[in-house]
Amino acid sequence: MLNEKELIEGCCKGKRASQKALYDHFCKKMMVVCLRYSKSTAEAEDILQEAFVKVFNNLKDFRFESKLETWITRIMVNTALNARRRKLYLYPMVDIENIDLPDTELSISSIHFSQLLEMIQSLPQGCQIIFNMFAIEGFSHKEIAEMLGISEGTSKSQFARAKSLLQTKLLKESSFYERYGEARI
Amino acid sequence: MKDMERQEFERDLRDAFRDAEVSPSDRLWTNIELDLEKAEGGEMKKRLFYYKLMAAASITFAICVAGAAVYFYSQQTKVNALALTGGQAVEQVIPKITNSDAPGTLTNESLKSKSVTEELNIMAHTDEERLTKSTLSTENDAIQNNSRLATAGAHSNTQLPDDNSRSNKRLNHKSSITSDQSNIALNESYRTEHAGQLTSQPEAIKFTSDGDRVSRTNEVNSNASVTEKADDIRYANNTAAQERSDPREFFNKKLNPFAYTERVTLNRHEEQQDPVAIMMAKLQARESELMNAEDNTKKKKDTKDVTGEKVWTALAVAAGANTSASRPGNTPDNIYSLGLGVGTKVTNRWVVQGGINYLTQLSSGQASEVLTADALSTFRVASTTESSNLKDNKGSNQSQQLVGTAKYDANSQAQFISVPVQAGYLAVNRKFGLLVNAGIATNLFIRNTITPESDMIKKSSQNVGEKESDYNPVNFNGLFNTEISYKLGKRYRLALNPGLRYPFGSAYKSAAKITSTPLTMDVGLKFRYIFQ
Repeated sequence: MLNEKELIEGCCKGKRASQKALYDHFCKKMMVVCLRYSKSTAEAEDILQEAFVKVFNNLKDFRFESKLETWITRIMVNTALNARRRKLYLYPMVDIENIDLPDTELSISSIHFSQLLEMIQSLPQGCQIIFNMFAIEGFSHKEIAEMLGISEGTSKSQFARAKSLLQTKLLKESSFYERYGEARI
Repeated sequence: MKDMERQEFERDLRDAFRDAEVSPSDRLWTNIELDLEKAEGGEMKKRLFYYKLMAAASITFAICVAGAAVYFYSQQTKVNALALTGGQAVEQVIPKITNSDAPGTLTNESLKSKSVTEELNIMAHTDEERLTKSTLSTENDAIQNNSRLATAGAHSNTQLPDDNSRSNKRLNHKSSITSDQSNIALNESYRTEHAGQLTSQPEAIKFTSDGDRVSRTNEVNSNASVTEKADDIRYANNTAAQERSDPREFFNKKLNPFAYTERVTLNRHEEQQDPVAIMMAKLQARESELMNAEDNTKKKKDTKDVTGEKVWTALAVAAGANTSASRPGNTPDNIYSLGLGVGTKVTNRWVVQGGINYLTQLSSGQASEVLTADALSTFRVASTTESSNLKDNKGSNQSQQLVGTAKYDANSQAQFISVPVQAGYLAVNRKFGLLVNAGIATNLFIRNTITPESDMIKKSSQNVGEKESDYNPVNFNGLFNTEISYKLGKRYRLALNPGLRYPFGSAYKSAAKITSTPLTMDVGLKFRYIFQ
């Protein structure tokens, strides 16, 4: 196995073997990122494919100022956002004033990521992206507002809505567990 | 407490996905490989396109340079042909000179035994350059001669062949001037060896003047009629005194057609001079006259309509782009046009052209709002004016609602009918042509269609006259362009037509709150049919 730098050099020279090695190394993790921003596996694979082509075409611009994984993840997220934007995934995103949030935060430590992924994919389109960007990628609402061309308030309200919906789902799942145990998981 | 719980929730969420992995399908790498190969191919195509563009630009440039060179070279040749003075070498051939009835009677009284009266009737047509008639008469004989005349400088040799018949004359005149030493090489006079037949030889004149060299060759074919009574005629080289005393001046006079363009008419005083010299002077004068006539003919040909084009019609296609975006944040507009035109020459060099073009202007940009009329179930993209009117509550349809969205891409296509009128100057008017045009185009707006890049938003169109339209019904553009053309056959001309277009005012309505007067550069191709 070549180290990261050698892989990058090989990719920059257009060596297919290096590109394949880089793809094999990151594709599984990046597939999860794409799944979080999409509604189906097929859609996620489309994003992954487009994003990896971008990665290989722009790898020469990688400055080693961050981890390669972080850089690739950022490309995945941007590609997913562009793909969503093309389909007006976020239409029409208006501020939601009255959101009923549960009194207590539910714990998700015991839930498998595939279960969480399923829940995130079931969120409304606008909420899904903002939830991912804020809660998992760690962008601030201001950054999200700039990236998506919406107001900061819209971002906050959409995140709150996403969280509310997610917690409702988690609550249902908890009731399910309480009734039927963890056999389903 | 609540914040801590929230942070814990988000941390748990990140942890849940930190090491999460899902395998994509196996065919994905194959697809990526195909995309990479396509991208590499695209890169090659881009390079090829760039090289093709460079090649096309180089060819266009080369054609321009070659055309300009041909034009200036032809101009220079013309100037050289005229400039016999000033140390420039000139070679000219005057193919035919025909003597005809013209004033000019020459009598050589220096001959004791014979008096020679020469009547030179020189009349040349400018186009044929023909010396029609030359008549020599002596006191004793009238002879019709075939004569060949060759002229010298201060001294001249002439033999007049006499075959007692009217015949052609050929006058070969070659002279070269080489030094200021007044070194004149002369051929000796030829005597008449046979009665009734005189033969003349070409003569060489050499003259050097301050290192300058002027050479000229004149060949004169003439039909001459010489009437002489004498069988044996000899012209002594008895040149006029002033010509002998200053042969340089004499030859300068002879070789400078500009200074001596007037027809030489001999008077009684001139009869004292050497008849051959006088005849030469007359021929020289006539020659310069012919040269001027030839030059005038050339000039006329240049300025006249050598291409035979007076009225034409043209089919034109053009593509161009703005230098700046018409709307803030938009990419530069692409403009395409297709049109028919007519043109005519108002003078030899000035041209007036007009026509009618269908013009379409494509631009892309981003929008962040949509129109909905039925409770958020369907959406339609809004024009800038429509959006502005709704915000100001001035819209005609208040049932519509403007809803903010994330930014999305939308393409706009504005269609116009353009009526250009241009005046042009034909800088080069030959097989290769260069026309410089300037004028005005009146653009009549037809329709604008905004198409969003989304299946969920419907496109919208605004026609001329509608309140929602962003465009003024009429706007005017200044035009400046060149036509680099090449004539194909007698009736066709193909032209490359690069140009600039600048609007005198914004094409957008004030309600659209867009002010844009971008400079448009376009390149067109014109196919011209010439009426003859």
